[in-house]
Amino acid sequence: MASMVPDVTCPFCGCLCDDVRVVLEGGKVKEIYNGCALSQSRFAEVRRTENRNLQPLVRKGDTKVPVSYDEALNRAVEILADADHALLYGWASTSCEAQIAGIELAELLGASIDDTSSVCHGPSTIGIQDVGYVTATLGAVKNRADVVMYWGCNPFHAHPRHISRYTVFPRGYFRKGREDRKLVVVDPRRTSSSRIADLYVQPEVGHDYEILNALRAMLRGAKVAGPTVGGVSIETLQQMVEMMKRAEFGALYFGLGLSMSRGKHRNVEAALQLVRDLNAQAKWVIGAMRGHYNVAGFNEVCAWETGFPFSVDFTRGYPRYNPGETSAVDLISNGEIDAILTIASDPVSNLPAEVAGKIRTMPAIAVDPFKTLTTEAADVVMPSAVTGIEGPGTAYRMDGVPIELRRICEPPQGLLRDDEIVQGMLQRLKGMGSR
Amino acid sequence: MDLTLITGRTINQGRGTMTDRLGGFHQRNSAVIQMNGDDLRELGLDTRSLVRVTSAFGQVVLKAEEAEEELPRGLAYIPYGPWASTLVGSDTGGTGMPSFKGMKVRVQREAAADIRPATALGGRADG
Repeated sequence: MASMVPDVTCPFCGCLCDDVRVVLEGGKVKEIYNGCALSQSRFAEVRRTENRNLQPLVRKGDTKVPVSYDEALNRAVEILADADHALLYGWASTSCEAQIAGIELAELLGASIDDTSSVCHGPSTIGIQDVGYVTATLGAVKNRADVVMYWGCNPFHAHPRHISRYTVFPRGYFRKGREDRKLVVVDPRRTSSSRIADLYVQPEVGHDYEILNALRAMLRGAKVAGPTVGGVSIETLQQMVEMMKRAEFGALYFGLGLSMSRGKHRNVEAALQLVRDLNAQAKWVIGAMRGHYNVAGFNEVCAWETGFPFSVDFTRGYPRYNPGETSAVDLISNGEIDAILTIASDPVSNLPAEVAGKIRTMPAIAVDPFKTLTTEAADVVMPSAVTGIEGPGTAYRMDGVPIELRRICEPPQGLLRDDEIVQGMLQRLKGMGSR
Repeated sequence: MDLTLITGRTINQGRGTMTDRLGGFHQRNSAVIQMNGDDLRELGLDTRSLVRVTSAFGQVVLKAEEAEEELPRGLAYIPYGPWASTLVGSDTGGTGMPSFKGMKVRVQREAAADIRPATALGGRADG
């Protein structure tokens, strides 16, 4: 018999939409309502078992053999404790409870810990540390914003309900809906998001820094030499400035088009400074379009546990933070890492091939519900329940609001949660005595 | 043809990454290079053509297609995944972040080789 579970939080992207309704039949997800295409896949495909890791595995000789969690955890701790400099990497698609245990594990091991944000919005966090930022919750934007700007992102593909649930289309306390709001999209590609914009601005790739600073100068009344800046005409820039100045409540959301392009954190700093400057003449806020559903959570947890938001090195017995040195890609490509624990991430697929190749050559432990290139390459594989569907936890939405994740169905028999697995390693390590 | 490459998300790449990383759905949606239609035609390509994409850091065979999310001439787009990662260097310029957007690539028609599955990539020596 089918039953409906209301108000489920979708554990896919940083929107953490918490209005999803899930129909269960026989304890399995049958269908979902209110979810986007990504959410549909996330919930519906959890029930398929062919892509799941269902049994802990440990490499013995040339093959990996099924073992108990107990044996896999013992082998994992052995690898990590034997390493001179282990890296604990991933953490974006799991709960804050697992992240807290992971940071304690890194400290006890004298290891480094980094999340996927170092290859995502890490530069944005660096920019925020340098400049500070004026921000607001998505709820405030929904209720108040009359001008919404997306810069270097395509929400229709990466955060499909951002525009419809939080920013442009929804009815808000002070806004009727789309007709009350202007949408501006800045992107080198003419994306589906840009096709519904009131103003579409097409910059050349890698010229965001100049454009943002030209806007800042024009906002202060300076004349900018033309005819274009970064491929955008002075007339278009002036039009943007006028729209921004006239806003009652403006919101700028930026994506990896700023943090991954030439300039990286400097681009983000320029955007943050633009919004700071705008507040002398109008009300504006800014936010990053965070990707994985709890990548923002790791930055929060890591900051309150260590004082730093990501890329933390405990090898000296105290936390050090220096992206470019203590960040995952740099640590691995510089040959500093001799063992890796990956959790809730797939670095062998997503990091540069040279780095992926180095991961393949080192002792590796992977914790993941699904089969990935990283679990294929690992010496120890520990399957886990899918957080937010098969296990509860806490996650931070992209605007810094913590949201409860629920267990709506049972995981495949015997599977532990990520936090239970990390706690298992932690308790064993404490049993051995810290280094 | 020399192009500027940006890598990024697409909705089907996102669907593939959560549950089908090693399967055909992911490959069909991520082992592709999206280009401007005029650039495709100048290279004599159609949407069934395979191309070899070469950067300073690696090379990979992909299916060429005209971008639905329209690209200006000279710009190409590959969804995130092991195929895109093959072309990305590990230098972060002191930021922790490799340059996933804005690298120069060369795109040439490929007649001999086929697209490698994900399991043959991810830093494998022969990948």
